[in-house]
Amino acid sequence: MFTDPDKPAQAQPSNLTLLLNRMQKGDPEAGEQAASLVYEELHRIASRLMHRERAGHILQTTALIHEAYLRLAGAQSLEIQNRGHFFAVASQQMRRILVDYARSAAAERRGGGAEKIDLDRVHLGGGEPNVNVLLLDESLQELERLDLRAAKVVELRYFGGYTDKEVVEALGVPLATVRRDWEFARSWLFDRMRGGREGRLAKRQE
Amino acid sequence: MSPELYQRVRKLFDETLERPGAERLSFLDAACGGDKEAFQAVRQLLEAHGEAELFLEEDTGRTQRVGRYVIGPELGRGAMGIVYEAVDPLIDRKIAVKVINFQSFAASKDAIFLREQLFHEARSAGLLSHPGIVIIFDVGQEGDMAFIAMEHVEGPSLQEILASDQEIERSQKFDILRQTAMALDYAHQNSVVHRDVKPANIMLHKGATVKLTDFGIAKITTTQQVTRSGMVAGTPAYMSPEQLRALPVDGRSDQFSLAVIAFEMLTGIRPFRADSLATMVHQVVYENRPSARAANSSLSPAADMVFYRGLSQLPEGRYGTCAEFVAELEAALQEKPSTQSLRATAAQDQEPVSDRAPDMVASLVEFATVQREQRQGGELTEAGSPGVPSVSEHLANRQHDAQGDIIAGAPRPAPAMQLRTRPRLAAALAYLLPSLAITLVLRWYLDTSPVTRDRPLGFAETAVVFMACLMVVAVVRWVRRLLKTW
Repeated sequence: MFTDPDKPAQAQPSNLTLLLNRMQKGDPEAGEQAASLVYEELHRIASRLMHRERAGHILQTTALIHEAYLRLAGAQSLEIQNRGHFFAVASQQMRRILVDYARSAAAERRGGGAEKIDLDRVHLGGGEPNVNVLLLDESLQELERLDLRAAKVVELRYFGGYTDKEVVEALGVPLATVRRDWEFARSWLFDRMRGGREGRLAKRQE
Repeated sequence: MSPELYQRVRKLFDETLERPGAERLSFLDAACGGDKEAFQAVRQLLEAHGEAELFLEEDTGRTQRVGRYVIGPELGRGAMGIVYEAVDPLIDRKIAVKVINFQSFAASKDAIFLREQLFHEARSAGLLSHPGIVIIFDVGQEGDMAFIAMEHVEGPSLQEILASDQEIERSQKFDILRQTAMALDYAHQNSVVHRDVKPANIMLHKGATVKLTDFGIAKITTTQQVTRSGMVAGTPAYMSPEQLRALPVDGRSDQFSLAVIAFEMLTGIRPFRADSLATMVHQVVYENRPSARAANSSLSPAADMVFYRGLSQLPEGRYGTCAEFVAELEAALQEKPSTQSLRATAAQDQEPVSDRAPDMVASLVEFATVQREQRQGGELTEAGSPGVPSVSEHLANRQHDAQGDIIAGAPRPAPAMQLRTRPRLAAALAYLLPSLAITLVLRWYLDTSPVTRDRPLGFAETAVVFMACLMVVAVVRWVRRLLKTW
């Protein structure tokens, strides 16, 4: 893809704003375009960071999304409503990136590519990850089918690194609801991921 | 799980969770009213809730911690580690945390040594308390990582300022240099050497107040990096010769680095530039100092003199303190008559002319000539920045007053004309006197020894012996200097 040299540098932010506006009015194509725009940006920043990093580096999803936001939105910050949409899009894409990385890291381990950076070790926090991203993603997909809003809260809080307040802004629901969703989803996912009776029961039923 | 069951479970879970812990089960039992499936599911989720504790909470970017500090966005990175903005939750203070990963530096056995060194250095730097030095709050370790918690300083760094094409007034440049010098002198008085004075380590808090960061920490990295690969990592452009030669350093090493920075600030170029590291090291350690005046013709020859001293190969050739260097430099640029005598003292303390490069001698001659012209014509060669604010002049004067004790301790300033003759005479005497002494002793021995007593030496023979001694002394001095340089 080539960039038009005549296009001013600020073309991108307005691009994102436009897309978010259209997405808000219910244009599914605009939503997809906004998502891929954000995904590309996040991916670029993340891979740059990860290739440059030594193992054990603290890569923070919040900081990453923040950087992507600054790049995409440019100097003019997005309107409050669009900001909420951006949070939602960004955390969804962050989730995709982390899952992609975890998957390629797993494939690499199987393929024996030893010298590559241990990506899923880098992905969150300084130490060993105590959450299996692939399993979390799978369980989250199940939750999405049952309770989309609760799953979104997890996506925003965990993958996006947003605070409760920002989740309220993104979803447009009361704070108490967000807190309840979070507590429930956490318990549900925890139970599911450790392969509790609930999980086994559900599997048998499917 | 069917959507219907999910709805029921979800509702029951939310309601039950609002009850105090002890009442939950009985409440749930009553609420379910015989719906065994829902009861089982909710009970299991409640158990999971109890066990989940920090599940999914701990790993989010928000709560990343190093030590007790909550880590925020990255502020910058250096050879040694990455600096993050952070918050000390105990007192809700914004700080900066430098995280150093030992894994990337050395094998595990070296890592322990490195860590000890780091802690030692951080401890001594932590004792420093000066408005111009970034305060160190805490040092700690976590796994392979060590961290230093320190004062959060809003940039920009001097490096950023120099890199941007933003023009800075000369008075402001000297303000920065003066503040840096004072902070360095304070550290030196407390026997802490910075070792890595460079524009990137000079932060300008709110664009005005100098804050030096990374005190003493370079000791570990530089030596480690030099010895491990036989190469210096990063740019040695600001390193003193003694540092590059891995000799012990003191505050005068920092003064050298400060002189390099001052050179860069005033001329726009670094005094030592080379494509290869080896060439640069050679420049710093052995080669003649470049003239700042050649790079910026608006500078006075006197400024070159001050730079020659600040950038002297041997620490002994430099000034007593960093503040002295900066004050001399400022005075040399302002060409204030009151400071000329001071500069003469400075020049007089130089190494003997015989040790100096030809361009140095030329500069000395020029210096003396210009001074004579000034005395005669009263016209200044260099006007400095036109319309220097009176405040900065006043400050410069105060600077000199503050130095009163240093001046008082120094020998009386000699007239500028003696400048060239005195060192030459001293150099000549250094050869003649030992030779004469050896000749006399030899003559006395030959005269008294029973073997040669009967045949006393004539004048011509004595002269030949004297010449031979002179040659021996010259060779010995030459070998000594060679040993010193190597």
